[in-house]
Amino acid sequence: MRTERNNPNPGADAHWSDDRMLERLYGLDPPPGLDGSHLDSCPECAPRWQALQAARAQVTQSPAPAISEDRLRAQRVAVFDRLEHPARQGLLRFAPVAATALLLVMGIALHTPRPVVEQQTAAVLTQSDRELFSEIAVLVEEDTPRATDAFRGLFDGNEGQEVQ
Amino acid sequence: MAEQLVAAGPAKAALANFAGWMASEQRRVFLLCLRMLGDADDADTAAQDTFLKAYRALEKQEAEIDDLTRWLTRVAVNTCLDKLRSRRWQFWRKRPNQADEEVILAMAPNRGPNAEDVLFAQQIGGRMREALDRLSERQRAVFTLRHFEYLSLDEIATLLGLDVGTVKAHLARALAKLREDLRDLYEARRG
Repeated sequence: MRTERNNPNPGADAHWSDDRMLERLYGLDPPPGLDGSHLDSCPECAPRWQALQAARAQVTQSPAPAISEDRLRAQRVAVFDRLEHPARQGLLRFAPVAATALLLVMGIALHTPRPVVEQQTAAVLTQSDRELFSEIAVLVEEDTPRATDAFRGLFDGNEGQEVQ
Repeated sequence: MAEQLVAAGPAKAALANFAGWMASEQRRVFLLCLRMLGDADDADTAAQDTFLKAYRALEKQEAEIDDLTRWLTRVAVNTCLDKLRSRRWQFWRKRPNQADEEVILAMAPNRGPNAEDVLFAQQIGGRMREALDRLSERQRAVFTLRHFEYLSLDEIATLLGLDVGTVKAHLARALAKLREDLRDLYEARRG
């Protein structure tokens, strides 16, 4: 038996698969090679096609689901409320945006790297520092100003020598 | 006065008696939203948004409206499509609550008082909602309008602003996906 499933190039007498029948039911064109009239004439496909159409008809003819009048009334009240207070609704509409912006700012603030603060180390005296301080102490304790050193050298170094 | 409003067009008449017009269209719009969104709370909001948009458009008289019913359907479908798009980001969404499940299950065809049929209808309702959730927004819109609203492919194309060929492609993909997702259900039923 030739079927649309096992034959890539089905002819007009090929049987229709369920998929193709369903597409046909919803108004889609059959693929090239399949003939729509086959669904009415084929003794194998016609009953399947009719059953599918009947199932579809049951869906279309089934009554609409019941919706409570309270729900509909609440909807109407809400619509008129939103018409009368558009500003409040407008503000509410921006609430998610505002919340998102706030979260974004908080996120950025939390993730911004802080400047590294260098820790101050305690002063440690080294040998050179000690020498410097002792020199300063000596200078401070001297009676004569340092500027007189040059003149003192003239006399201290030449004691006992005569001028020629 | 009323005659003058009617004579000026259906849009003005709808605006003049907005409450009455909304009440007459509300059930249909809510059902359409429910079928497209699969969640009663979302459908509530979508139906409200639809009527708000409709009121504002009628008030501004933005466009000439020949067929109010079809125009309102388009507003509702576009509102639902927007909601479906934004839903992609709502990863925290939970499954519908019990009350919503009952409303959604009521959408499944129930052929009779047979307990097996009722159970099968409930199974189909739940599985159908899950399968519809996995379709793209366009596929879902096209399938809903075709399956539940019984619109022709041309009407759907006009409604969604698409080519008929594109509508056919969306419908074919939707059917293939649904069949694949629901295969076990109907094969078990058949077998």
